[in-house]
Amino acid sequence: MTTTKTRARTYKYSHTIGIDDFAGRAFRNSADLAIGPEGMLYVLQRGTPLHRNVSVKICNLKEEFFGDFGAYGTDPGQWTWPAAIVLDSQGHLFVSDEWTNRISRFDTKGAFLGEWGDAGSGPGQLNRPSGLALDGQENLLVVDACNHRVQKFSREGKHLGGWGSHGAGPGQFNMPWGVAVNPAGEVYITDWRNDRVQKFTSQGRFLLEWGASGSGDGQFNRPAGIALDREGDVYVVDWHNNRVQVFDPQGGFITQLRGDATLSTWGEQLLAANPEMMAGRKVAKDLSAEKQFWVPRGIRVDDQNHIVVVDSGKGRLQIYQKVPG
Amino acid sequence: MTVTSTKDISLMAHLMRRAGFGASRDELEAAAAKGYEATVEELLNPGDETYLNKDIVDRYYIDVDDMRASDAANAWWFYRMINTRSPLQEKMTMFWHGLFATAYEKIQNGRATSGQIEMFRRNCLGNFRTLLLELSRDPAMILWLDNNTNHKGAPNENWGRELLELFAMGVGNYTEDDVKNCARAFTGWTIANHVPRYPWGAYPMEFEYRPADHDDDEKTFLGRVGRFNGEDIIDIVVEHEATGRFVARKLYQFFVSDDPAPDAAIETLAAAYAQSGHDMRAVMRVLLNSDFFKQAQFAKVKSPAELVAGIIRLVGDYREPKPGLVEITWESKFMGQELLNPPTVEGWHTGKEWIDSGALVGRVNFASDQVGNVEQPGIQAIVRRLSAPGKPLSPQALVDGCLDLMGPLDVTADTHKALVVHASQGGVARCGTTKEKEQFARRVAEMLQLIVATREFQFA
Repeated sequence: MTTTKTRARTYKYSHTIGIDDFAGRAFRNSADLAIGPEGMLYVLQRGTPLHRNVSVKICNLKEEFFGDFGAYGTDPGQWTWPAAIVLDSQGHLFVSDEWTNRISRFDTKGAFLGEWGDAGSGPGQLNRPSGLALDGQENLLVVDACNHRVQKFSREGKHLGGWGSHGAGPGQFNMPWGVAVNPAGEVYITDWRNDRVQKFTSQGRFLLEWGASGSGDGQFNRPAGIALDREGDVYVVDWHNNRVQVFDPQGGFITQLRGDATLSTWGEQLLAANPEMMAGRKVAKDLSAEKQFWVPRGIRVDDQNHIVVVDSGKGRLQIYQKVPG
Repeated sequence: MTVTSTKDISLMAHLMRRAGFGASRDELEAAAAKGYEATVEELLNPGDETYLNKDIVDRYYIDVDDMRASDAANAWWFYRMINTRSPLQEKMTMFWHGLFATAYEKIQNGRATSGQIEMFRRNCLGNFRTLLLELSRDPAMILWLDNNTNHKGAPNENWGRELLELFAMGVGNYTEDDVKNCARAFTGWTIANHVPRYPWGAYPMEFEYRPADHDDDEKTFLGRVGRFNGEDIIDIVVEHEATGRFVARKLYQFFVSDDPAPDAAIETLAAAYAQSGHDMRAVMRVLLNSDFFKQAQFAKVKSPAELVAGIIRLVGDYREPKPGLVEITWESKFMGQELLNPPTVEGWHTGKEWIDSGALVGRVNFASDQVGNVEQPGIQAIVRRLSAPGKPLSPQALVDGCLDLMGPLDVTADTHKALVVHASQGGVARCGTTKEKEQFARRVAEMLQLIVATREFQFA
């Protein structure tokens, strides 16, 4: 278990949740997650083309598993390429779908409550929507990736505005991915193909940017999910650098997380029930590669500063805890 | 305006079918304008491939990003075949994959099998020595032919035997003692003790050389004596005169004809192999510019993967990530060729063995479904060409126009007559009014569906 102390902040690795498998109490190709009260986790699964097993897996930080819901397809309430998930204060889950260009709404038991979204580039239309976040008024910010913009909607789908165009200048985007909003309503967006993060006022006025292509501190190889902690520090999933970078609210580099995975309870139980799997582990001389993130995609931080990383390529969540000092 | 003859277009279409997966008429005309030899040079020198936008592919195909399963590895390869601007690179990669057949069924690691394909792609037009050396160190191959159990004092001959028999020389050119000593030379060539696959899935594998497990004693191999290691074996093998002929025969079978290779062609290619210092680009330059290649039009049955990739390129689908790509790759599997998962170390049995009643129905149904969709950009391009003169087409002109744009494809008189009889049922094809244009497009698509069901279309 690692602990990182830097700039008056301490990041402690906590534990890992999950095993890699197609069905049941396992994850496969997770895209994002939402965190609910009391550590409830709603983990969005892109699944595999073979099994068409898109779903939301429901569990909690204590590794208890409560089931799943979701169906593959293009009919109302179905998903084809689900990309992001967010939970509002009413207990409604919103899911974006990059293929159907819809935002669908469910309760936390999986009951379908409605959806909106049309393909296109006009106001309120969507072209491969990805990241989702709620602002202080619980309006929904939707990263409209292939229209290179962010759009704001009411929870019922009324279009309220947006900003952005294709390009690399301030306020422009190249296939943005993730979005996060601070209590002041300021918006952070991972500008995926420009390898940078941009920060805006709640009305979309450009404030600042940071990042460049590369693998050094503050550089990115396609930043994906983004989240903020209680103090406003910014966590960016640096997708193809297989890491999470942490920044202060102005974009100053704090540290990076590379992954510290340890066997999850689900994993321990799987191995205990399958001696031949355990045998493979016993002969392995070096398991250090197992710890590292593998094409992570999403990240969320709860109100207790639990940092939950969606370690997509390995069917698991890695959890850290930020503490003062 | 560049005037190109039907003969030029036919020859260019032949080149692009064999050295690639076919080409649209626009592409054929552009290539013909450059000239045959210049086009061959372009094919032999793959360029930058940033246009494939692998990051975007990974973003939307989350399983390709992860690359643990064979489906994902297969999907990425088909995506490349469909979208590549360097089709010979993919065709050569497919050639080496068929020759050095390694199956996911045993490896069970998508990154290892796709890593081997990437290695073939990297070396496909390079030096044969480099390719064999990398193959000897390829983790998927080591696992596939058990060289990880080839130990000093307890050799496993599997890799050593297949290197000589199936991969580089062919039976009759070495002895059993050569096999034994070849295997001894490769002791200690193994895979690093890799991370277990449970509970989080397979990890990439890496080559490891363990000197303590290598038999460093003297060996006799193909008449030479020394304390040979694997590199020495590769050096001796690539220099052997049987190897040049072996590679030549395999290339001829894959790129030229399903019929046995004539001696003269083998000697020509083997000479290019020797004179170039085993440079595959030089050998392929000779092959693609040879008369025996140019004269072998429609002398090969298309493999399922060629057929599927060719049809998708023709209709212009999957030019960017969209759902359904894995299902497209399954079509090839259902027709008898699951890439990355050949049936045995001998690879696939090709030629007429691709065709049985089930596979033929699968080929025709797949192709027919695809070309029958008038919404596809490639089909619309064919419709535009046929309607461009703005004049009504007689049934025979409709048939001939479609056959021309689907090849040009020559069919037997009986087939041609049957196509014209069918076209005649609709009378003259007009494209004046909006309704006529819709009917015209539907009739073209219907004719294309009949053409892909002909015997002749099964050949490349």
